[in-house]
Amino acid sequence: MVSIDNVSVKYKKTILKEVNIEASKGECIGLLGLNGSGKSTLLSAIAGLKKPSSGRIKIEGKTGFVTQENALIDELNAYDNLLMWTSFKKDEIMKALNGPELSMLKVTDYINVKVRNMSGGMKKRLALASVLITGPDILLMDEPLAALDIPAKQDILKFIDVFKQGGGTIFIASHDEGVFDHCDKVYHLKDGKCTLLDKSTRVSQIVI
Amino acid sequence: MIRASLKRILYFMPFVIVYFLVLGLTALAFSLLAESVLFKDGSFSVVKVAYYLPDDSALNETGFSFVSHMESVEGSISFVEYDSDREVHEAVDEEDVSAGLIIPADFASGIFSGTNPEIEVVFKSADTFDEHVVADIMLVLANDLGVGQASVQATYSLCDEYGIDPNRSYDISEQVRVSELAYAMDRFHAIDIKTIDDISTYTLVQKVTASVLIYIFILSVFVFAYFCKGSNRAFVIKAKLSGISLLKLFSTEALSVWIMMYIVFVLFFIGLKFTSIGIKTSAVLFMIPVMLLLACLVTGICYLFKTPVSASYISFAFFTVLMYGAGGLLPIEFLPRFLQKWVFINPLKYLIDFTLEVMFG
Repeated sequence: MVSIDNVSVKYKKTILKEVNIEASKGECIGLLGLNGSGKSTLLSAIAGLKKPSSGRIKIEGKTGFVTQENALIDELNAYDNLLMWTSFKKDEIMKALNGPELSMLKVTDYINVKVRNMSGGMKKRLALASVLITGPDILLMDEPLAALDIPAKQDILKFIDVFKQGGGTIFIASHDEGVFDHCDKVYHLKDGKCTLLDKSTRVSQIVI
Repeated sequence: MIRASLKRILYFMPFVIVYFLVLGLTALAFSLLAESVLFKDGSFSVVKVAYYLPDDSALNETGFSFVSHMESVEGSISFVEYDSDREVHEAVDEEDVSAGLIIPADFASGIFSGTNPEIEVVFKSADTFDEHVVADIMLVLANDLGVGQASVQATYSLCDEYGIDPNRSYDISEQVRVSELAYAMDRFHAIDIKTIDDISTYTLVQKVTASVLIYIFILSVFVFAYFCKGSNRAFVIKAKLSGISLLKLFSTEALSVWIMMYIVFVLFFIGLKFTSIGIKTSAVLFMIPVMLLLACLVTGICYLFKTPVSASYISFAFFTVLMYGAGGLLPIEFLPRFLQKWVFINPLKYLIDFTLEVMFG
């Protein structure tokens, strides 16, 4: 479903050097690395927002990107924020929110609450819903668990499993050890190079 | 997206109105008071000028008395008599006065006799605003007196050419070409001090109103930086992945900003109709493109900076300087001379001129 073949990204210096990753349907790929190691750049390249200097990225399906900062409008409620990105009518939005994947995010519970009055977890779930409502096959998530409390993290992790089961492919860039337990493959990015980690390797050892 | 944008407009409108109401009322008060504040006695418009006039010429004294009691001169210059030319120089050096005039004893008689007596105009280098005004007045004075002298001399030359006695002016009209005489006599005026309103198409109040209107609309970056999302990386990424180009995002937001700005302008327009400024009714239509241009400018600024705070403060600093340089905050005639030369390359000057034409032209 996603094939990254010898991809390098350069700006003033080399950010990614000959990265190779294969991801199939229903697979979750974890990207691990220190700040500035190129995780977000790799996700942007997969989303088509950054052009690789060399190599090729082949994608089959529609991409959705949940960025680290949210793209929500504070003065609008959850429903209007969803309305911003779709041409759906109200009943179509409500129908989508009650679907198998989106219902887990429980956005309907706070559909009329303004973003400025939401907690971090509510905002993250809404941000995710606003991406999912467009029906992506490949989901790119940049630090999805950052600044969330434990119940909110658990909601997101549950969602990851459900999305995989539904045949979706996920790429997750994170510092959070817990998220990699839900990944089928974990890649370590360091000095622009991307290495597949052995399943027996503890993520915490790599990061330190 | 359009429905959501309209809802955002409804949400933002109260904040926008409060912003413009506060600044607009301040600006309106400033506009209405501008003329009296700028030209009131005791401010820079009344300046002290020293003069020395030798006692031995009744014609000189009559002429000087006439000039100093002219309405425009009396309101602008306070003449102080000194007993010698040396004292006039000292007064200027010690900055007791802003300038000095030393009038030769044969000045009045010299004009009529065809000799060339010169008034000595004394002033220091113009650094302050007052000094610029005085320097300008003195130059106009010196120029006009010079023209007057030259005209009389020209008349005498013509008389000489035609063999006419110059002291018998009734003979001149019979033999000198009328146009030549009319030119000479027309130039025979001593002082013509102009006010800003005399030399401008628009009154000072109208100029200040148009300029300040443009200024506060540009500075609405303070409010709209929180409305426009083009500087939010996550928002732009989401738009791109949702098939919305940056241009479409910009257009939607610029149009939203324009709607809000135009509503505010209409409110201003209604307010100005109750004043004596004299805004034209057609301005409500012709200001549509001006508001659109300003909306695009404001939205563009908001897109350029990463945070609303940096967009607000940098645009405030930049546009305040640009507006001052365009003669917006002070009339062009009041700017330091070196800035007056650069006014014509300032795009805001043309925007202000167009706004003046549309609102008051």
